[in-house]
Amino acid sequence: MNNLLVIVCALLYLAVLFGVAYYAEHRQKKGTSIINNPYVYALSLAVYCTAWTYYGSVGRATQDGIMFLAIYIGPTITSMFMMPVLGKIIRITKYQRINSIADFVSARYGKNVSIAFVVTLLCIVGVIPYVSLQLKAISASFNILIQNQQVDASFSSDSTFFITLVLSLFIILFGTRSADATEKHEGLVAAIAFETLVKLLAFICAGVFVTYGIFNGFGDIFARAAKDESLTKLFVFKETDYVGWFFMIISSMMAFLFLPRQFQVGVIENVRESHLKKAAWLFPLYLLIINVFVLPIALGGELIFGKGTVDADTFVLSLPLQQGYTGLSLLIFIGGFSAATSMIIVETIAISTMVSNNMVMPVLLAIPKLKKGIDASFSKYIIYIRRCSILGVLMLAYLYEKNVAHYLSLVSIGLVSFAAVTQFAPALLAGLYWKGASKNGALTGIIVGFAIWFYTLVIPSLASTGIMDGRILSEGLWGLSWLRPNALFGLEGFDSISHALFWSLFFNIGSFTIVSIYSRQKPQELYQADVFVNIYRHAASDNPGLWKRTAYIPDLNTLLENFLGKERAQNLIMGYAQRNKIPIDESSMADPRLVDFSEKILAGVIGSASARIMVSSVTKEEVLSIDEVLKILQESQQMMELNKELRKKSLELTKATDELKRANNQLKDIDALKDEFLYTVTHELRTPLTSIRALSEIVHDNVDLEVEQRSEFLGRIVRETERLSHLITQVLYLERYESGRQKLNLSSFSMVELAQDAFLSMEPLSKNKQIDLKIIHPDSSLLLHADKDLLRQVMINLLGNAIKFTPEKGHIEFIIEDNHEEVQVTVQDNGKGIPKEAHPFLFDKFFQARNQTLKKPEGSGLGLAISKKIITMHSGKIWVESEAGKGARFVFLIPNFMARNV
Amino acid sequence: MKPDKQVLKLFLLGILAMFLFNFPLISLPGKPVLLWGIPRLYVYVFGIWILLLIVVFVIVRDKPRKRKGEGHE
Repeated sequence: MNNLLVIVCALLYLAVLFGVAYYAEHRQKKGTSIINNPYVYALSLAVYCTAWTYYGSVGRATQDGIMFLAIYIGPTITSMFMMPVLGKIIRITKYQRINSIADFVSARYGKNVSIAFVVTLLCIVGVIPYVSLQLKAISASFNILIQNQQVDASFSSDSTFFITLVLSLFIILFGTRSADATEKHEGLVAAIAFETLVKLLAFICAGVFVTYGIFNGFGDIFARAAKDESLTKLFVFKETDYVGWFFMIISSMMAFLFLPRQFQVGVIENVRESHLKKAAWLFPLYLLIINVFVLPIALGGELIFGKGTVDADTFVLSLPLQQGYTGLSLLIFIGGFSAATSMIIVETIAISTMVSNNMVMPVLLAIPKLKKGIDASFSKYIIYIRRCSILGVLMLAYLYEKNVAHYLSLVSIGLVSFAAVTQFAPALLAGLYWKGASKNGALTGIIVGFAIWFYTLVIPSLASTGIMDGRILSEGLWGLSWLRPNALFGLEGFDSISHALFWSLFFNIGSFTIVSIYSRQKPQELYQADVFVNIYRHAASDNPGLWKRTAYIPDLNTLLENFLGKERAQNLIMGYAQRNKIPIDESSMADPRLVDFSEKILAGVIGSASARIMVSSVTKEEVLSIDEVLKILQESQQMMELNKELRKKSLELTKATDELKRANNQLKDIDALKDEFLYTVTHELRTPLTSIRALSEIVHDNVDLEVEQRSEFLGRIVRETERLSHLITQVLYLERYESGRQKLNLSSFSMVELAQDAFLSMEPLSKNKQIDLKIIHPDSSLLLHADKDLLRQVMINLLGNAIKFTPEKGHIEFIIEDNHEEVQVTVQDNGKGIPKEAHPFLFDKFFQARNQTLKKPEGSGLGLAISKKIITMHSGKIWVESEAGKGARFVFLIPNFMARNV
Repeated sequence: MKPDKQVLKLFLLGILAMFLFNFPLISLPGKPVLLWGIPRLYVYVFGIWILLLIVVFVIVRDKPRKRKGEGHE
């Protein structure tokens, strides 16, 4: 293919990238940000997939089969833990205006300059080779595309240099708009999200082409590969792979969080914490999709080219090229190009921020002359420093690519980088949850881990390429065999990455925890530890920090102006003062909150450590001892607990109020019932009274009444009086039961005898109506422990009701049964029955009375209510089974405690 | 912060994933044979992967908003 065409395409693509970034910034200015969106956030996270994924995964798959997947499974698992851990990191970062991972570590450990320096250095050493790997991928893919042309090798190298320059222009343009590094790089993030889509699309095109264009689908490729024994090996794990697999998952889990570029897009550029939710499944889904075609392409390449003839890292590109599809090849080249450039862009931004804030700035500020010379134009210099760092980082990567990288394979450099950033994990993760993690511990852990990483991974690669004496590999340092870099302390049988990860993490975590436990934290460190661990509490309260620092407002103003420019500084300070109602008086001292705010703003520009130094230079602050710090922290802790206590108390109060309301309502209901009862009772009393009065008036007024008639009237008066007194007795009974004054007079007796007694007393009444009344009872005497008189009353009431409602010559059965744990008494008649609708109210007071308005009442209407009370007092049950016209069946159960006790 | 149920569920799922994707469970698919035309190990890994994503999707769907309204602050 024509090399000019390829170059033009690459440049066109970069032009599109510029366009996307411009468009995003344009939208931001209009207030309709496109990166404030969970999908864009999830896509930007996929900057994780680099050219190494794009080309290298296939190469890896041809050698170790499934092992290539480990570095995607790690982030998938991390994304499940992502919400708690990443959420906390994001909250801290926003609260403290942190602008890089080195800044984060330094802020956690007391805004320390040296720890930030070490982390930055480790990032440069560990990650810049990874950046140059991307450049190498660009030039390699370029070479493959133009392979038919005879061009001298320097051409592709020059074109890489050219592309590097264009990239630095892009990064400088969209990455250093403001001196404040915590400001979102809208254009940049939009461009990254766009590139993520491009690389996914291009890779899928390649996959579909190989799987369905060259072969007949997945089944076809796998079936053909299954015939080749050297390829079926790729279908399973090798025995020794499990350890490597495990360590790679762990390392990629950490790399996903702590690689500078991941920290940049995942934390610094995060607009809203809630975007994490969608990213938790969307990002792993992206990883899954981009990996579906890796194995088919790897196997397809091996089947077509034969083993070992073509570099497997290039299969993605060389397969369509070999089939003669140049257009498709160009598209795939652009996909790989986008994977490489997106990584270069973000990693460079992240590292250059670190370099300028944590390496250059502290050195500049340490020179007294320079520090004094800082004036209002300094904010411009900050941007220049950052631009120079960007150029420096990219040039370093370019030089590394040109001079060293071609000795090494694509994959190994990537994994070495992963292992490097994994060294931050102990200090960072423990720092989020363990207040005792100290600066000295973190520094020791990181340095020790870094040293072992260097010794076990970098030295061997240098030695194997001949840059160093190779004897160190076989004989060890100073000829000590237990110091061999690939078998430290004699540990053999691990692959080099697992070996390095094991030893570095072992000593990293070990020294970090031991030194942390035995070292004393300084006040500032202790306070920062508390802020990080309890961020949700600190972010909720508007606490102006621990130190009540004050400064002259003009001093503070000048400081901010120097770093931010006059206009911006004024806006920020006035804005904050207005929001928090702090009076600004040029001649007076600034409020401690304002000082704290200024430090945070400054931290966004020059990093926490330098900001602290600068602000300290204009403030007067009290020196706090460690005990005082502890006391203040404890007090705020107590305040929080007090708050919690108060909230609990008020909750209890609400509960109590609710209960009182409920009780009140109940009382009201009972009162209404009482009224109704009283009304019914007086009504019931009036009926017999009226007839007594009428009858006695007749007798009184008509002296000449016939004797016969007079005695009939007097008889009726006597009967009504009886009815009246019966009613009153019943009411009194009921009142006694309801008020709970009636106590059970318990005794042991034979239930059968009691029933017979009741039966005998009711028999004459039944004979009057010629009713056939039968009693059925078991042979045993059925001992019961209950109130004899009350039970007798219930039975007589039920029998009386039955006789009352059974027509002449009817049948009534009175059945006593022993159900072992309870005694069942049934009274069954063949009278007119009771309609179903009435059943629920049958045992209510005056039910009958209220429902027999036409006929003269045949009872008080209280008998069943009383019976129910009595049975309930015995913890028994009473109910009715009946249908209109089919007779009624009243049943009650009395628990037999005696039987249970025996 | 109060331990949110959603966060706890995701955390436990992460631990489960750690087990499913590592030795010894990952050695279960064993032999280099094809299942539905695809190597068994790949069916296992991609299958688990998809299942886990579905579970994450279900867990993070906007449920907790209701709970927030119920009080607490």
